[in-house]
Amino acid sequence: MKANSKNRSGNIFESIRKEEEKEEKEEKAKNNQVDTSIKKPQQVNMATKKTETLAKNTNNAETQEKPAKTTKTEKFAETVSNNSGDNYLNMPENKVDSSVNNGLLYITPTRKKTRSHRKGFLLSDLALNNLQKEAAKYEISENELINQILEKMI
Amino acid sequence: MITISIANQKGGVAKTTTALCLANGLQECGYKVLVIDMDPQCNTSSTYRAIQENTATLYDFLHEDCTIEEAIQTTESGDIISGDSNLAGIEGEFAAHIKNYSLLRKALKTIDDKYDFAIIDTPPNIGFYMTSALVASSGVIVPLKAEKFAIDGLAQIMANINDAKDVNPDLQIYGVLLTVYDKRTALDTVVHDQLPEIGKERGFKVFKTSIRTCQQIKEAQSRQVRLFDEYPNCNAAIDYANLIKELLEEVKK
Ligand SMILES: Nc1ncnc2c1ncn2[C@@H]1O[C@H](COP(=O)(O)OP(=O)(O)OP(=O)(O)O)[C@@H](O)[C@H]1O
Ligand SMILES: [Mg+2]
Repeated sequence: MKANSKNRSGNIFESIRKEEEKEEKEEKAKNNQVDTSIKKPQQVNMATKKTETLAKNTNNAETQEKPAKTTKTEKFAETVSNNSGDNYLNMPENKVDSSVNNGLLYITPTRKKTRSHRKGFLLSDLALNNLQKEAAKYEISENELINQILEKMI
Repeated sequence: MITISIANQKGGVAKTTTALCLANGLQECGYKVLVIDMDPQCNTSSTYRAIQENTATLYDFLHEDCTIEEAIQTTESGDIISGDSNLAGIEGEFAAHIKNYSLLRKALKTIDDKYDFAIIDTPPNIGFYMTSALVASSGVIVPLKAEKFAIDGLAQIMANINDAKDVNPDLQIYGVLLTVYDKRTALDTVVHDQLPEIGKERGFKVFKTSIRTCQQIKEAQSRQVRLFDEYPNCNAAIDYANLIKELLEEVKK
């Protein structure tokens, strides 16, 4: 399902939409389940855990809703007309509804270890020049050339 | 937060330059700006002097090894999610799972109130990275250089943007932006004069501002400094400032 394997990209965007719709449905189904499980007293632990998920999911659902276009426009109208250089996030009325997001989304920052084997590198101008020349010679992209060189090395 | 992709599958049309100058200019206006470098060439990240070693980058985020916030680096030039040269070899792997195309869009929603603008620099091909960017964006700026076949290439990127509306119905084309414009060159003049008409015909907006060719752009990039800090009065700075004025009108609509 590579997007770049197609001339036109229509299918890929359609697939992405369908996938998003599927995920949304699954989340909704999960949410419904939670409601019933919370009521059973013997399942307290489970229930708490699920409530957390519920909170998360509800929040997801909320964030997935498109913000009304007009609000954005108003915000910009304000910023621009104020012409104060102040950023609109600092305005009290814009701070209010963000508290919900803050509470739920930033509770558990779980930073996993960055992969240790990966090594980034930047090319010098000279190296890049040579690389581009070589790639042009073989009519492949620079990335493809790097990949092929790496493959040979291993 | 308004998320703007700078996209054209054609190489060397000043996507990176536009992303950098736009971010810089918006910062100058007092906006909070996040730059996201989705091009494995990492030109934007280099100019920002972002680090890729032992730190979370776009690669780690797309690998779901860290949250989007953890992938943000604060540099002297501003906040950036750095690209990563490893992104080049792994595009196919990401593309193999459809849900990965929505990762950026979902994550950006979680930091919606942290920035006024997110500016995404995209690579010169229609692959996983550009597609993810289009899915996540409020709108697109399409830089264009006056070159043979440049206009033909436009049709493809426009079709792609329109296709993206399937999943992102509010996606806008803020405009096509003529870059590296040199009025002494015949081809540039022809394209400059005819582009608005072509836009009308084919149904896309063209910015009134063109970005003139300007040596200071190259200097700022090679010195890894911000254009508006160092060369605020050069032609390109003036043109990018005018572009921002137009853009702000456009996003207000
Ligand atoms: N207004 C300008 N005047 C002079 N040179 C410019 C101008 N804008 C961009 N350039 C130069 O043109 C070259 C290509 O620009 P840039 O890297 O921004 O293009 P790109 O579209 O990002 O390329 P790629 O497709 O490889 O990512 C760079 O060397 C840049 O410095
Ligand atoms: Mg670039």
